[in-house]
Amino acid sequence: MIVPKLVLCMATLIGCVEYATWQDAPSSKVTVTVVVILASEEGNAIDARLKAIAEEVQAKEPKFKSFKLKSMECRPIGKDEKADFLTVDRKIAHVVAKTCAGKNNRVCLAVTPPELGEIVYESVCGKFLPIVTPYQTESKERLILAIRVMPCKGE
Amino acid sequence: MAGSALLIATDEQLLTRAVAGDRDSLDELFRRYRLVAYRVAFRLLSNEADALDAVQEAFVKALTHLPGFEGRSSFKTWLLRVVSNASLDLGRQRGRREALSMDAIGQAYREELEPMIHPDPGQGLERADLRRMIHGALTHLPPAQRRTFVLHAEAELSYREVAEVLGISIGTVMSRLYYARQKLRLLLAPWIKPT
Amino acid sequence: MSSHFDNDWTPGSDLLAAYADGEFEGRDELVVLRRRVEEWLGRHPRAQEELAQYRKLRQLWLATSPAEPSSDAWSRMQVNLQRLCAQSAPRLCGRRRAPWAASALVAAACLTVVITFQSVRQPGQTNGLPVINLSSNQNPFPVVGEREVTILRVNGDDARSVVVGVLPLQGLMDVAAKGDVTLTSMKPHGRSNVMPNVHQRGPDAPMMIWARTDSEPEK
Repeated sequence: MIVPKLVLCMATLIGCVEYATWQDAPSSKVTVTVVVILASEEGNAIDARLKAIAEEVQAKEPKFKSFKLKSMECRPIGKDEKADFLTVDRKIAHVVAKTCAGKNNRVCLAVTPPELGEIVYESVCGKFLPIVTPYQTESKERLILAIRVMPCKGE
Repeated sequence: MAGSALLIATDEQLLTRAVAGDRDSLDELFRRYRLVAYRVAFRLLSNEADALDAVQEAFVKALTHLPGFEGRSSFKTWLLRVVSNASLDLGRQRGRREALSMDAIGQAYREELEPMIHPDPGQGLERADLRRMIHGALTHLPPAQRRTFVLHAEAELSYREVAEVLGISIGTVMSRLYYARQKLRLLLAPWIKPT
Repeated sequence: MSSHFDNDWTPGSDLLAAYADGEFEGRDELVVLRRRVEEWLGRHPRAQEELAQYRKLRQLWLATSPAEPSSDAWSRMQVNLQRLCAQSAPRLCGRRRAPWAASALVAAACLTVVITFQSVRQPGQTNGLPVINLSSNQNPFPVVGEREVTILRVNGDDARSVVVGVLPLQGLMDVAAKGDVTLTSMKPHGRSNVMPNVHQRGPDAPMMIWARTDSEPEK
């Protein structure tokens, strides 16, 4: 079920603005959360939970009118360890947690979404980076991933 | 502002150029599919060196037969057919144990898996141990089921694509997967039963 | 709740396997069949347990995915392949691509590569932990802002896209619309890539991923 996972993953959600670092990670593992979203050009139903993400995506891609939350998974990942997240239609998003070079031990993520090349980035902890992939289901819904890394300092 | 950029061709474009003798296109095809080919080979052989050999052999065979590739299937499914054939051939040559029937699992099962069963599943196993355990279970599948399962689970091929690779019907794919899972469920029960 | 379906119906093992594999997902023509299977599963807890074990098996499989060989191992294989190719299929292993032929690469591979984010509109912050209420107006998925993410590397090798710009990039990464990027010429770059000289509209566009479409490339 999705609801218990959401509760588990968001239990420590605090608005934080620090970048995620390895020294803050308990047992040298960060928690990566991947939210799987399907966006459609039909209809106008936007899941209330996805309002912020939908706004960001629609600002550049106004053709997407509906957004639904497909699934969400969070997983602890160690340094240089890879985790595979199942999205839709058996497509996998690969995530590797790395150390950003010369960046005060910050956590960098190398994400390979379905049908995209690897994207390496660092971001603040606790907030989601949306990625609109080229992948489209048979129902013509576009796969969007939103990815977050935790924990934040002090957690 | 000029910038650096990478241009990517489709598989069909690369194939056309590769057949015409363009080595860069061959290299690009290799880069695109080497990892999925390796993963399939590794699952079938459980050994990096053997898997690399199988991938190399498969690519050589693919290169040799490339002019005859008619595009009735995708390049990926065509290549994976060659890879899985090469892996099974290599496995046989190097004396890997073939599938045992369910009736014969008995003692052999205990010999291969028992040392890994003793640790409490609740304590967790290292990834390498888990991989060895899975491979041990895979070797107990008949070759056809093993190959079908690996193509579906590792190469992430749909039923239709697996059917294309193996030249069988979708119904046969479904049936093999079902029986493969039943066996794997039995063999890996301590790790997949709900706690 | 009464069932709409025949209580004597039992899905075959193949059907349950297909359901476990997600083969019904997103397929409108199988909606009724899917509901029928789910309704049957609702009445057969043992089968549900089997299904849960299938899914656990899948997780176990994913957790043991083989690690990629080192770049040295790939390089050695590539050298071997070139040698073997030259021996067994010399015609195939002949020449490198001519620079001018790279323009043929700019053919339609349908793609949309989008990574978007903008300045975040900060949701209202609460003191302490937020109440977990999925139906509330709380924003459970806050989005990173312009100053809160830095793109370090984008690999276009496996993607059907053109990456234009200089990295690392903090902030905005946008998809170039048709007309934003004009291909002016092509030149070879390295063994297998080509580098287009492009003109980007707007001096302040630090980074664009040129979304390739089915249309002809810009001249």
